[in-house]
Amino acid sequence: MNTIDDDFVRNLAHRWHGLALSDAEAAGIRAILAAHEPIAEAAAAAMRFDTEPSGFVGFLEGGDKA
Amino acid sequence: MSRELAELSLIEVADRIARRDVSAAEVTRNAIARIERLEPTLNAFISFEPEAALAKAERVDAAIGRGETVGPLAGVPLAHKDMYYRAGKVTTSGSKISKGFVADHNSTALARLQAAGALYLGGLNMSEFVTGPTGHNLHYGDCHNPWNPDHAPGGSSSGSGAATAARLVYGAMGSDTGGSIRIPAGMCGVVGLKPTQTRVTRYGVTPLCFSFDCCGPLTRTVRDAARMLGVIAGHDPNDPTSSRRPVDDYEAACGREARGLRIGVPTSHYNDDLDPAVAAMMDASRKTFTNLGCELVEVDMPDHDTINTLWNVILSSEAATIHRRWLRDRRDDYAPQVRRRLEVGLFQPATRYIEALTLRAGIAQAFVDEVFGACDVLHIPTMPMPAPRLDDIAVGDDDDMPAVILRVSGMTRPINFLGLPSLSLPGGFSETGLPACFQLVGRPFAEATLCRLGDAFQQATDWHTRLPALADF
Repeated sequence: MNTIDDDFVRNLAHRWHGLALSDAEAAGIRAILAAHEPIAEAAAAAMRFDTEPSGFVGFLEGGDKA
Repeated sequence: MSRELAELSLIEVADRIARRDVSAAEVTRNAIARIERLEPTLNAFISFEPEAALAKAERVDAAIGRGETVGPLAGVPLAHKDMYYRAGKVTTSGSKISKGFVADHNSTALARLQAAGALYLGGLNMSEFVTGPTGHNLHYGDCHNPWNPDHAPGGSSSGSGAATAARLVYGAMGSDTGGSIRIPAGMCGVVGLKPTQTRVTRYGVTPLCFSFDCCGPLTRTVRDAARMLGVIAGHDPNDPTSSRRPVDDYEAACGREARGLRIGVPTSHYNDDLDPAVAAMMDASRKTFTNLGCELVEVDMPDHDTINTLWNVILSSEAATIHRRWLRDRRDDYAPQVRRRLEVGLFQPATRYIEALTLRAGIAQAFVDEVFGACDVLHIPTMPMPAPRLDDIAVGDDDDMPAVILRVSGMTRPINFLGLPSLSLPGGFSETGLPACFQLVGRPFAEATLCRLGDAFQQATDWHTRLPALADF
């Protein structure tokens, strides 16, 4: 499901952030978000429910072991 | 002016000053004269403080004259990306919004360099608010590449790359969130060292993205970068994210033979769509490694489309958080491209952002297991092409902006997502005389291994000694 369109971007900008975007600005942002969404959504399928961002610190501190 | 003095490496000039073969004041006057001559062409500096640097140089000379022990950078003229805070001084971050921002504390990294005796010649040009890999700047003017001023110097540490390559300073601090040390180092033909994510404190440095921002040096030689890293690395109580691990002796690692190291050669992604000059440089540098007694090993690369996308999700979310108030109140004070890239983060759901952060550890661990299970150091291009013309990549917020930015930074961003150390160094030149550079990437905290291999490469080649024609005086 991907319902990000120019109106969504324009409305969200206005309602959440108090920004008035031009048509070109809304289209530019929509294009970037729309390119990210399917890849990020597919990646999220690999996420375990019992993990959290701090796991990255553990990776770094233990990640030099050959 | 003395070209011979300007061509000394950072370590050479520091050693000569310490031995009183040359005075810090003479070295500094030479650097000042070179800056005054080349600045109209390069636009590498946002601020310039020659008097203060010269005064400190004279104090260093006096201390050495009294027989006092001085630091490893005593009397060496440096300048830094204009995002390192100095209490009571303006730090612009290359922006209109922060044009009058006066910090109330010092950057720890800068304080450590100063304590080691380094001089501060000024704040260097950079992309606005650390955003952008090309070196354009709408507010302070574009910085130019010393190898050809029509070409981009790379960003966001544009002035750091240009000033170091043109022998205006002996080294410069940059910062790297998606390639901002390595890209200007690559375009300008100098060494750029992005440390492991938590190796160097970020305290007192303008943030763009908490998860990826890294501080590190740009220098002419790997040994110089090793010396600067040795000074700035180590835990800082003011930056709780900085690692408490002991700091390795990076300079001692230089000079160790590279024989026996396994060099990873990617079978995909990093070979795609390379400019012929970069492809030839990669082949030639691998031959050099083989001649040094290294073993080349093919390694499979994980999916970089996913890594690049998750990098974007995290970068835009954190950057928008930092800038949200200004994006609402001072929207027109941003360059259009910078504003567009920051505003994307206003539309990322919190769940998407936290998913990306949470996925990071597993992806990084899988990368390390797969890649560094087979090799010690990964050898990949810094960029797929030499420095483009400034005009050709002046895309503003056009529809093709994301693709142009990805083309420039698509080989550096993934390393930030993975949190790994990476050393970029020149390995050749294009037919048009522009540098072509590669990265050496290692496991977390493997900076000493990168310095060992990078230094061995520089001892066997002379690419790093070449001087841009406009700086040949």
